[in-house]
Amino acid sequence: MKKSIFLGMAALAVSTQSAVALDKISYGTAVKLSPVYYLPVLAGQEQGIFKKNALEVEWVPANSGPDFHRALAAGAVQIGSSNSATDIPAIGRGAPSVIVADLQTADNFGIWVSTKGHINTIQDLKGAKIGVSRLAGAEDSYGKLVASKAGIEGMQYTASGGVEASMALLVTGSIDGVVLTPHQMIDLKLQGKVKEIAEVEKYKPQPWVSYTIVAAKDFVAKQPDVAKRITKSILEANAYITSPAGEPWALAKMKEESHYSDAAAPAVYDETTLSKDGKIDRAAIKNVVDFMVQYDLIKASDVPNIDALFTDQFVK
Amino acid sequence: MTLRQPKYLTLAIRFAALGIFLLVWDLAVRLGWIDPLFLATPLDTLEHLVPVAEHAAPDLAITVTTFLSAFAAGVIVALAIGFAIGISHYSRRMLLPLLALGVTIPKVTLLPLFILWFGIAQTPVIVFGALSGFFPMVINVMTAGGEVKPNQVLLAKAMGFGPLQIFRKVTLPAMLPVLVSGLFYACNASMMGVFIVELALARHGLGAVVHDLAVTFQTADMYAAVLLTASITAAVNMALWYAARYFGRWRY
Amino acid sequence: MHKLSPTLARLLLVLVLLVLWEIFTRFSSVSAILIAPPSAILWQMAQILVRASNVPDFYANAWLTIVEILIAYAVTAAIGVLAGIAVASSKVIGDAFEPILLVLYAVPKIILYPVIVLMIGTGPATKIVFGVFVGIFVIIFNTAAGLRQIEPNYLRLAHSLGYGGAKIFFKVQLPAAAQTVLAGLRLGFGYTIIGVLTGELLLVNAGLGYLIDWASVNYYTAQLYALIVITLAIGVVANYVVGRIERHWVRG
Repeated sequence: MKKSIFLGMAALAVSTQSAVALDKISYGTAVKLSPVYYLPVLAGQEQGIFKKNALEVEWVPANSGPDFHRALAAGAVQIGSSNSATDIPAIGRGAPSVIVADLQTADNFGIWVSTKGHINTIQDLKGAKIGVSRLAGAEDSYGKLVASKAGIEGMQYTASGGVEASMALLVTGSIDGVVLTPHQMIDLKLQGKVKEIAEVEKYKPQPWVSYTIVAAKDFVAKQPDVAKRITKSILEANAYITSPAGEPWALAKMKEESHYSDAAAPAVYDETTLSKDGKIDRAAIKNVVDFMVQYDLIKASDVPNIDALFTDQFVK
Repeated sequence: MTLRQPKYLTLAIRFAALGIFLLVWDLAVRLGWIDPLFLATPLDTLEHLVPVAEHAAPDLAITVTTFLSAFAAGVIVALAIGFAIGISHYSRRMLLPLLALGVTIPKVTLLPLFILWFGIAQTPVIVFGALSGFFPMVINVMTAGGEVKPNQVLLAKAMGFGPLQIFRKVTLPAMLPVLVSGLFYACNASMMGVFIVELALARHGLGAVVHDLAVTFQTADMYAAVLLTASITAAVNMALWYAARYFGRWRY
Repeated sequence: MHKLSPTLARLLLVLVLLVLWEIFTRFSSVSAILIAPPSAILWQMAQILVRASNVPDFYANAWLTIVEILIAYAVTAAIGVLAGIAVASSKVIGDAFEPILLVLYAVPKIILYPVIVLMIGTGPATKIVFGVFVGIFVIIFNTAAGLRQIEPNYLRLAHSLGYGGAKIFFKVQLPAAAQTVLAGLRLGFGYTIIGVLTGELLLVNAGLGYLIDWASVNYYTAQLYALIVITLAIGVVANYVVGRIERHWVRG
């Protein structure tokens, strides 16, 4: 009798093991080498968080926000990390995506200048030539936001390409400043080549949402359970990363992926405020929409119904 | 004596040119003409070559296999379509202008469509590389047909050769120089295509390695990786170029 | 059996493809941010040309790109042909520099873009220089190969007729090499266009590349494809012009 119960339980154990099939997900990120984007995914893979939630996740980095939304539309990825500044225009222009969680409230953009230049205070930015990755993008408007709130006149904006090209222009003095994030500038800052002259976060209306978790509408509609599990996994990964237990792992990972120096990694880590509950504040989304309309990043006619931009069914 | 002198002279000129190039490159960095953020000295690049090659070995393997697949696919399809179209003068005249367009299309702008159709694994990279090599090759295949002199074919027929023999002894040798020159251009185009997509997708392969190193300003490592990529392409380039010269003529 | 002229057949083929594409886009569930139906694209093209579209400053940007391409091509063709002649005319120079050229050809020029920006800045000059880098090699190689392949008998004949060096070059060598050189010039033209456009896509501040990027990041799909088609059309027209010049020269 005992033997048969034991055998029965063994059989049950074996069958449930093989019955737990992992759902395969392709998780995208708007760009590749931003710690806010890769840390949660890699933590989920390496710390068994995805497996625990019966998921097998492949990380598929895109090259830009629009490319990421196109990947979502094409079904190459089902869900991923992005930035509201790219999500809202995408959804407004018909991308079949929807924001499902807040990933990190701040993106910490700043105006950076060369230490060899003549700009030492924010007021020196008067008449300065500022490089942005492309005109009429988020960085362009961040620059204008700082200019209008801090009362600086005459700032001009010019397209300066990617990080490499922008730095080339900054170094030669062709541009006086550039709008970028600390995680892109940290090593250069520590080498003493650049300094941050203005922090965009200070001037943003609050509340605000910067980094997001975005999913394909189709995916949310047809597989809400899987969508919920992957969202929860990422938020769990966030909690791990920002915990004392996860800090050494995160620092090591950043050094490996972004080639940060020993001094740079902790500096970037301190700026990482990944959200643990992912709660979406409707007022935050509205602020971003209003900002984008104000700075001509989206047309009023494209302004989507705010409630169509997000769903909080997974983070309530 | 007359034969040996030019050979030494050639080598001397080559070394001189190489030497000047390396010197200017080195000085450009050391004297700060170009900020070290964007250019590494030749010595630095070489020092980093072995570590980068070791670290990037799996990506190197991926790029090489992708390139070979793309090159082979592009060339085979070009041969098939080129021969099929080239047989008839009519179809050649009809389609040659369309295919000539293929080189001009900025294929990079169609990358999102590639992802839609081929996914995000290595398939779009192979397809893009194959397409890049296909266009120069197919143009060459189609014009190679014009190399075959009708008189020679008639003569061979009169001498009683069967169609297969005519192909082997008359048609193919006449077409070979142009075909090999096509291979030369297709090879380079394929490799560049593969590299550019790997750079854009930044997932696997040497292009991805270079992308990550460039964005994080690991300058010496980046140039080492570029040197690695260029070495592969150069090796195949050279093999095909000297093969083309061996086959003598290079006419369209 | 009545056969359609090749041109008409070509048009019919394109028409059939367009109809298939239209049907596919209208009836499939592929998102509007990925593809647009040809009808929408054609409508946008018309809008763009009459300045009724939302594409910013189309004519100014298109003209800038055309000028960049023309300047880049003029430089590329001039330097390319001269370099090709140099490589072909002297065995010593040719053998010395050929491997160097082959290695340079193998380097993925796209990674040198930040260095060019560093040295030249963000204006049209950078895109022109990049266009030259990408287009020049094909012209050098084809010119050299074309001049080299001349039957030694022709040269001996010219010598025996008492022709001097310059006369031999212009009356014997150049005409014999003409077809190959011109084929190289045409392929080089295509690659120069790609170089200029890629430069505009990497640093998006002006030109057709800027417009294409603008349409892409703002999800104006129909405009995107319309602009790509217009860019292609410019390439077609330019190719046609070059072809006419070629026929004129070869005849003369």
